[in-house]
Amino acid sequence: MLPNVRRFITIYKGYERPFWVSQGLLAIATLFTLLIPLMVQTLIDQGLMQGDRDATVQSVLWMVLFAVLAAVFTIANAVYAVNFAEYTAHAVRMFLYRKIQTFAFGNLDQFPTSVLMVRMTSDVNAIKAVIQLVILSLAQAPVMFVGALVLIYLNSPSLMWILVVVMPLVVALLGVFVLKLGPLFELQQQKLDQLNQVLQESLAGVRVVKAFVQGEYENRRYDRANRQLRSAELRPMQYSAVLAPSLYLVINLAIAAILWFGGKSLLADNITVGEILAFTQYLSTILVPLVVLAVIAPQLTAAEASAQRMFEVLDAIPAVPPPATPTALHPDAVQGRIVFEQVNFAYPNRDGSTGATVLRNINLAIAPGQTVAFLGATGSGKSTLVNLIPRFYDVTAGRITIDGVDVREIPLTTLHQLVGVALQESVLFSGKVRDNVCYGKPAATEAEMVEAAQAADAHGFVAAMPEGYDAAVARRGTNFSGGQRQRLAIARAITVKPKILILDDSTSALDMATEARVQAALKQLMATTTTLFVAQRISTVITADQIFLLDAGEIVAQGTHETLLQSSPLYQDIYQSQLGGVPT
Amino acid sequence: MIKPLLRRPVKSKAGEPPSPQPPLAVLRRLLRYVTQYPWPLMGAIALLLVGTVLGLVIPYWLGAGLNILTTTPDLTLLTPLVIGIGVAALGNWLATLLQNLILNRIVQQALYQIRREVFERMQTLSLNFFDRQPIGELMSRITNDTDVVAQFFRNGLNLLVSESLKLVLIVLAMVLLNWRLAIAALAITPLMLAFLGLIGRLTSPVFTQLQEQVGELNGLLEETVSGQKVIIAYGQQQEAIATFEAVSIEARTAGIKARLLALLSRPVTLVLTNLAVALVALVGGLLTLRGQADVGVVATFLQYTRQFAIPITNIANNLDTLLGAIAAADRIFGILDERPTVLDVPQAPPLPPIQGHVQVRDVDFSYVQGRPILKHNTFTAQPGEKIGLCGPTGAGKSTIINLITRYYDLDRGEILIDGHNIATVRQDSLRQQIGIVLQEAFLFSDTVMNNLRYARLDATDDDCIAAAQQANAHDFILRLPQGYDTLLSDRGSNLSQGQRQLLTIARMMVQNPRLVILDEATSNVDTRTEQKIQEALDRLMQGRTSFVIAHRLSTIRNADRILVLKAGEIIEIGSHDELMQRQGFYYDLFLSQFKGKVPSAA
Repeated sequence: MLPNVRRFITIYKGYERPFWVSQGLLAIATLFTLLIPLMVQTLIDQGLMQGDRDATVQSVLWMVLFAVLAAVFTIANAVYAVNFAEYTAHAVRMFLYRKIQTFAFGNLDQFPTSVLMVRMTSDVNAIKAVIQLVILSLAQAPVMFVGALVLIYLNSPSLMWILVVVMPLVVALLGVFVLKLGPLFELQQQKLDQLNQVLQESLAGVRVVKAFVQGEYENRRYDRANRQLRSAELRPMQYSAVLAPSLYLVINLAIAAILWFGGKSLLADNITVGEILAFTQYLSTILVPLVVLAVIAPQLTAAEASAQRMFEVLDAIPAVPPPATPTALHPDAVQGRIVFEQVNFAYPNRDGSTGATVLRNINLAIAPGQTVAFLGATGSGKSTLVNLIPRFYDVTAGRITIDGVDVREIPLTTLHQLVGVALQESVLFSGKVRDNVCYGKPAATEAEMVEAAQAADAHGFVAAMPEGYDAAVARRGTNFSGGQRQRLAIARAITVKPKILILDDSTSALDMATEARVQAALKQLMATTTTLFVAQRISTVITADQIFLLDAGEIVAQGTHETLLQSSPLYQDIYQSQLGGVPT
Repeated sequence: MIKPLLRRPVKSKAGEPPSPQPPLAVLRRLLRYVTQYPWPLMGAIALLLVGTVLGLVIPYWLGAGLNILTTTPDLTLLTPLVIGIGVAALGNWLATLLQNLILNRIVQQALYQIRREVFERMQTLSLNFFDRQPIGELMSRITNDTDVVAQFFRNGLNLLVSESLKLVLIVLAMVLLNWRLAIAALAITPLMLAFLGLIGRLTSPVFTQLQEQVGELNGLLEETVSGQKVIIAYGQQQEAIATFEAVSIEARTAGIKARLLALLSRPVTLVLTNLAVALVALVGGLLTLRGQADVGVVATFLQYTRQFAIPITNIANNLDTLLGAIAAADRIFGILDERPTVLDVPQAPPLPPIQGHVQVRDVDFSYVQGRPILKHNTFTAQPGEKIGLCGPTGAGKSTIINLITRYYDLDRGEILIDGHNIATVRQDSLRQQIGIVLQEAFLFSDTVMNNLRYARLDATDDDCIAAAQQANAHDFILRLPQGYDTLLSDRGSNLSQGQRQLLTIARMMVQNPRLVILDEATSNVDTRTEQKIQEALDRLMQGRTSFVIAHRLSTIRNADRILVLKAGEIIEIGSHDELMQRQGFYYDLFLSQFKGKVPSAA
């Protein structure tokens, strides 16, 4: 039962004392609450029935005292509860975040951003909510229950049987409620999701809807989902509508019974009026913790699911393990010769098994300082190929060496210093432009930063902005155009002064003229850097020292533009379709 | 395709959303969805009255019973009271149950209606509404706001109506029973209200701060997780952890403050309630000793006092839900009050079946006043001609699509198809005769066949299959697990980009329009599929007037005429050969692709 929740609780090892203290405080608060009906009893029996004014006033004063003490202890417990919950949430967030920082690309494929976001927000919140609720109310029910039983037994044992009859009824009602409602709420959520999906599609495809004039059709689709949601939402509401009155019915019928049998007992001198009244109050007070338990139960199920998802992330194994026996490689001494020997690669499946082979039999050698291009269509494997060099993924066969050293033996920090990558998606972080450009080398000088920006043809537009390099970058860099983002991302890669620079389709948003400028500047600034371009456009690769043509995971041709144009039919095809043959 | 549009600042053509309304007016409009059903509503209220009265009668009879026991204990006198309590209990149960059931139905119907109205309204709106904000934002607003309103209807409404009624009846009962004790019982009320008000005023800024902190935390989280690859590539993991930890701690602190404050309200209201009970006990006791009250009345009042505290706290706690619901409802009504900006003239005739002769005459257009996108555009296309459009990004090429299909109205000039001014015919009839293939191939999560049929609901299966064959899509469809009945997942993501593109072309063929507009996809497709797409497009354009927005000049090389746009103006018109001879802008553009590596003439 609830294995993940139980596993989760083990993180509290060493913090048991605050938990017991909080429950102790709660127990004391509950006890004081229980004593109040006792004072009502005294008020009536000793005060009013005896005409004793002092006793009357005294019992009221006790009532006040107990009420205030109960409140004080409840608040003390609440302090613990809130701290517990928030500290737990923070701890869980940090566990997850640190784990994510150990991830490699393969792990990120398994856990895309949206999934991780849900786990770090909704799941953490679900766990936090349950923790808080539990601390606030765990001790209440047993203390209340036992306490009330004891007091009733001591005061009015002849009526105790009523309690014994009522309790199971109430528990049964609540139990049915909890059991039935769970699946109904799930169904409701499902129908809501379906409705939103129709809405989403209709909005996202509004141009298609309007182009084909299908507004009526969309209305009918939505209506169907709307009707289903209406009935799915109604069902749990109707169940709740029956539950609350039914609980009150049980209590009220019990009051009638108490009056009748209490009367009989009174006549037999077994009980006093005050005790009868106190009994009715105990009955109502016992209801509260039972309802709380009924509320906690479904939340525990949600917490179990959240805990399971959390552990999925925490149990993930980093896809790229650091080298066992690292080879010391001095970054400055590296020349940048890259060799692929019989490399194969397949992406891992979600369940850990190896998927379909994406790269096959890759053999190539790149001399230091060369400008090399990888050309091919989407799915040909070119991005995957270059991602292997900085060990974003590990090969499944063969090996890759830099200056003769297998990349798997180079410490990851050194490797990432050696290999600069401008990824396919130019992601910028919110902050200043200079923070982004110097991201890989925070200690870079102003001159180094500007030099890199100039090489990436970014200095021009940055200097044109009023704040220049201190200009703010919005979240995801949305205040810059696609082309500007790409150039900033390239500048970021250049600032690190890597020995090997990889530009993965990172000039796709630039027009030909700008791209040519960037390529020329790179050639000049990074003359000794081995530069790798990955592209789909022939125009991008046309000036490279070596072009590798990829198709379906294999290198089908290599050479310069001129030799390929003569010897490779595939290259000729691509040339024809993209540039449309020879200009006259 | 029309991505540039989303990045533009506030456009005058985008229009402004209707301004917010005063809260009471919004509340009244909101309640109208419920008051539409007067008979069930009145029935519910009647049941509510009956139920509450019966609920109040029980403590009264209990008190009376206790009185009998304190004075002359006699079971026969007790019997009618006990039976009375039993009957009242059953009556209260039945009445409350029925009342809830009826109200719930009404509430669900109201929600259904609001959702339906919002959706149907949006279907009538012009494109400017959708271009005004990213779809995600619109979606999120609609779903969140509807959810808030739904919460209000489900809980808040019930609270407002029934709790208020209960309050009134309890006070009435108390005053009728013993006015002195009533004063004692109600004395605490101002204190309680003051306290609740204080809590409200204190928690509001604290909760706003919490929202901000959480917003920042989630924002940072989203940014770093989605950019994790960059963090890995630049080895900045430790720094990322340190930054995140700092923000998380701030969120923790803000959370503790806010939640503690919120949790205070319950114990304190409980204390105040108990104080009220104590006061009632004291005053009641003293009055009893003086003979102005009796045990029974005291017992009854103790119950009433407890019962009284509940509605007050419920209402106070839910007041902010009410305010939130009003704000949300206001935004929803904002959508309901929107009107389309591109309207048919009254009694507009449908566009008769066209041949495809298009005339654009001296057209000016701007989204934002003062920032013209198109200037003095004039050109003509004969039926069956292929016209290519090219030019730098932002030159206005995509806008032409919006204008020919009349998604936006022109500033100046006119567009004629077969001599009919498109502003004078019915929009639907216009769009049904124009085929558009967009850059992003959008498909619905439905079967392949239904996606094809979307173009023309009365198309037969054979029509669709024939179109698919024409579009080179038939082969890969047959290879899908269920062929034409295969269910496409969300936006058709179980197909490759190329396959999606072929399907949209096939869909176009089902529509069989005489005029085709093509916004070319930047090649994200493998060469083989690309050839198939090229072939399919060529077949599509045969015999139809087509406008092709080219991102690769090779596509429009064989166009009958090429329009070169720069900064909104057509600077060159001619065939590829003519333009190359001219050695102007087009010539430069074309050659720049070769980066100087112009091969010798073949």
